[in-house]
Amino acid sequence: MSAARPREAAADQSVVYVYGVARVPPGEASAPLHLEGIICDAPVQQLVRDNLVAFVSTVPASQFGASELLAAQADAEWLRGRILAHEKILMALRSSYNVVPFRFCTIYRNAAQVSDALARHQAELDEAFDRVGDASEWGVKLYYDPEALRCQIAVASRPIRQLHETLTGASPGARFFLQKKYDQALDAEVTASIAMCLEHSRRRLEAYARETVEIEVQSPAEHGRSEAMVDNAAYLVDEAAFSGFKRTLAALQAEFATQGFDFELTGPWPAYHFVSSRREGDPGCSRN
Amino acid sequence: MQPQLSNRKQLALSELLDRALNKGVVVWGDATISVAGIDLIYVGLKVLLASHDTANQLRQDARDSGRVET
Repeated sequence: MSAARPREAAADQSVVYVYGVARVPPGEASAPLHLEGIICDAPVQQLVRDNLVAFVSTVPASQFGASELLAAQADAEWLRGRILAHEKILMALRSSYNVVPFRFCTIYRNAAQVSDALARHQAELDEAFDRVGDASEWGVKLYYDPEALRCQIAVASRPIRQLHETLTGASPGARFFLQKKYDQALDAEVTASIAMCLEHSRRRLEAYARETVEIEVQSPAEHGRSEAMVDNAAYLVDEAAFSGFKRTLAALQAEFATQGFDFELTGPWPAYHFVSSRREGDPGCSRN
Repeated sequence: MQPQLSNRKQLALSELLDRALNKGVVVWGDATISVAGIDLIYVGLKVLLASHDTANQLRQDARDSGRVET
């Protein structure tokens, strides 16, 4: 392990950073990009192999070697800038290409290795292009305000109102148990309302999507809001279907806002969640 | 045009982390950094994000620079 390091870290050595891959129509000359790369003085270049074009930058191994990158996680500022640059480049390419995004910091030793990889994985890449087409990924998150939802149910639900009336008219001795019964009934209705909103919204939005992927719900530290996140999903939506998708989301928002629900839309994103199925169930791809 | 429904009209970096570091095409045996290596960086950034001030700062940064240039 220590034997490999000096070679990777050599100051004059460069490696190749890959942002993503697109299909090139046959015979079409690729226009120069004039795009700033992942770092200064590393413009985005096109590397063509057969009908595929990889978008790449040549970067110094002293910054993008495997061990250097692991050390770089101490420098959050630097890493943050690079992640934003990676995204910015993919978004800029999106106006001209249907790009299959690569993971942040996918790095090869040289251009020949990238070219080889494109040729060897042509079939998988073709599958990814067919799967994504001209669609974009959109993120939809569902939040709810626990207090608002409880209040709404306490007012709107007849069984809950009845329980509350019984409770207020009860003797002090009976109150304890009735209070418990009331709380349990209210909790159950809260849970049912969340499930209903979630299922209903998923079903209506899925009608406009090529595919849907469920994402892990974020913690409050991640989303930074006072409400609780109850759903987080990525939808792969064709260009032509997007207006319907957006309209449906606005209708859902109007329908569920009074109960304390709030939908949040983010995007468009490169189709990250729809090109990475290899990862699941294939731990073998982590070999180095 | 940026269609946005969110009342926070901004792009959170945590969203981006979940995608750029966790998803995307994972290639293949001959890339110089392993998937495991990127996972380590991802975990490091998640820990960083757990600080609320940092999260707000990241959102601001993402809003400033995460847009398409046309």
